[in-house]
Amino acid sequence: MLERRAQRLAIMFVAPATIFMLAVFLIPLWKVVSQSFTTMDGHFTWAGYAELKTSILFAKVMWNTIEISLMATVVTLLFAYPLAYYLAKQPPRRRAYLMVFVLLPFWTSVLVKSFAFMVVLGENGFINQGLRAIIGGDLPIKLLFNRTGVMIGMTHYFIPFMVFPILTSLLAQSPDLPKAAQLMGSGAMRIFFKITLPLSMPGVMAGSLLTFILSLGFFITPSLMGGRKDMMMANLVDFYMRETLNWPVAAAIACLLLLLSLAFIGLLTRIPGGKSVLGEAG
Amino acid sequence: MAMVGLQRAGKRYGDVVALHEVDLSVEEGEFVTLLGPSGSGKTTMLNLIAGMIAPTTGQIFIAGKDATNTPPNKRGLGMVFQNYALMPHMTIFENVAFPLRVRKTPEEEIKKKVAHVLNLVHLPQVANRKPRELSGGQQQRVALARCIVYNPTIILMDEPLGALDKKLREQMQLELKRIHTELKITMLYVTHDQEEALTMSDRIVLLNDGRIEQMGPPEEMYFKPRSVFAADFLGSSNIWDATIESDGGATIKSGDKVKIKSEAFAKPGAKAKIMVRPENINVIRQGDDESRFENRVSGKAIDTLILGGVIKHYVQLANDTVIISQELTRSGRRSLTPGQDVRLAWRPDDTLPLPATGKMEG
Repeated sequence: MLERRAQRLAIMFVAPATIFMLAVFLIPLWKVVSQSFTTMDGHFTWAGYAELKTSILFAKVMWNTIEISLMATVVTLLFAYPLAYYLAKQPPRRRAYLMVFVLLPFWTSVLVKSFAFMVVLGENGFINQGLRAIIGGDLPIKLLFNRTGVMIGMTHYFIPFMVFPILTSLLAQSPDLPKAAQLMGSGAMRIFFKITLPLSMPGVMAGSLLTFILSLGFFITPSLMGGRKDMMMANLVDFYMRETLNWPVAAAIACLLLLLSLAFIGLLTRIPGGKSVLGEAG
Repeated sequence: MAMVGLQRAGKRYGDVVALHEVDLSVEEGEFVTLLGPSGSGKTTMLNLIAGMIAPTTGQIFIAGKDATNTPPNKRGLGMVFQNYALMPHMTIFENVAFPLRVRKTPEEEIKKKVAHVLNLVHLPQVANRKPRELSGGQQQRVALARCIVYNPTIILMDEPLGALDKKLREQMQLELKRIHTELKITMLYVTHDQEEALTMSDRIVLLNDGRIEQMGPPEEMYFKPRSVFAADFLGSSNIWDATIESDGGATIKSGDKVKIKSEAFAKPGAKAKIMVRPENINVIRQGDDESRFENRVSGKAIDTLILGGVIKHYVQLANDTVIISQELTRSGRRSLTPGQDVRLAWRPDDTLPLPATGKMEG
């Protein structure tokens, strides 16, 4: 009896969110999947996937996507690790205060930030004007509409996603470990490379996978801050949808992108520390 | 030679004094225990020696050299932590080999030395395991092996048995003592557990409120405490307010007159405290000859507690004075019935006068 009651109660708690997700996410998602197998006049077809198999554009964009995602992950890691390391060394109160600054990028939409970046990074932007004033001459550094621009925009967005898993794995380390190593005669470099870094690898792996997965589906940043060569999968979906009106192909790309992301999320659940990112304790 | 020395070393944080200026010297092969309640300055002292904090005043010597400004990794010390501090991602072998690798010891020698110390702590079979696969007691033995293996000047131990249960703790105490005797390592041990200190130490340094209250071998600390704090902290004790009489005896709070051990400070008319260990107070039963004890009092039994091997009697004297007597448990020995009249007796030699405040000099 009691168990039944508990079950009914549980259903009541999760039902609203489930219904909402069904209506606005799962049903449209199903539409996309079925669209990828349907011609414009309603017949079943493999044509969308068949076209991608031979499409040079798709192969190029696919490779582009993976390359940009990998680059963004590495660059983010290089910025985020020292940041997480510094935060881990701070006393808890100061850390909480500094954490607000790490979270700042979350408080503005990617779109607004992308436009802001254009003002700062453009040929007549902040940085180039400053450089002109100092160095003189007329040689603007190209920070927009190329890979650099994409990297700046994406890294900026990803840093918090990378900082938190790493910070978590750094904070989980007993502060006695470096102390013990130091007393045994170890210098700071050895302590970092033999103890701190290996023990933080679960956080590094989790953060990197998360960043990689998030960047696979990026759209606004590459389309606003990237050049013609920086087209990613999501941009290609947009291209087929609106420019060529070839919906089956667009849906097929979307499905492949989803599968790719799911594969990496599956990987994320299998690495130590990965589950913490997905909201599981421990 | 002194392996570690503190000379007027003190530590303050702003207005808070963690450690007043203290002097201490630990000789080669000695087992010295820093004993005291939390906040007494024992951990501060340990951290000063380890180099984790810098002294505000004074100097620190290690192996005869001034090490006040030497960083921790150049001090050549070993330390055993309460939570073991083994590297969780390394095998036991790698953990023990770590300090040797830091010292660039040849691989062949590392293998030999690690095997040797693991044998020494009776854990030769765990080399390929990870720390989490070992019990707490085993982990602590590995932590000790990791210190012994590089032969440090002194091994510092910060409440190393604090995380273990009572049985294991007693076993480890003997183990530590054995290793200390076998290898003649110099050890500085920090604990708040007086029994642990009494069991293992060659010398106990009792700390109170950032100062050294008293130091000496365990017997001396136990039988000749120089202050009420020392008497109270080590072992249990009966401590009463008393006045010293002109004949060298004393009148305790209950009004009973007792003979005491003579001490220079205990002049007639002086206010003092009188301390008697419970195990020195005898319950006089029918047929016992009480004449061999010169100090005798009468009271009413309050309660009797059987604590396994020993039994404790609480007896009420006049003027709200309670006296505790401790005997060994014997089958057939009857408990006292609450309210019954009891006669207690003890010897003047076991009756120690202590200054009412502060400590005795000398």
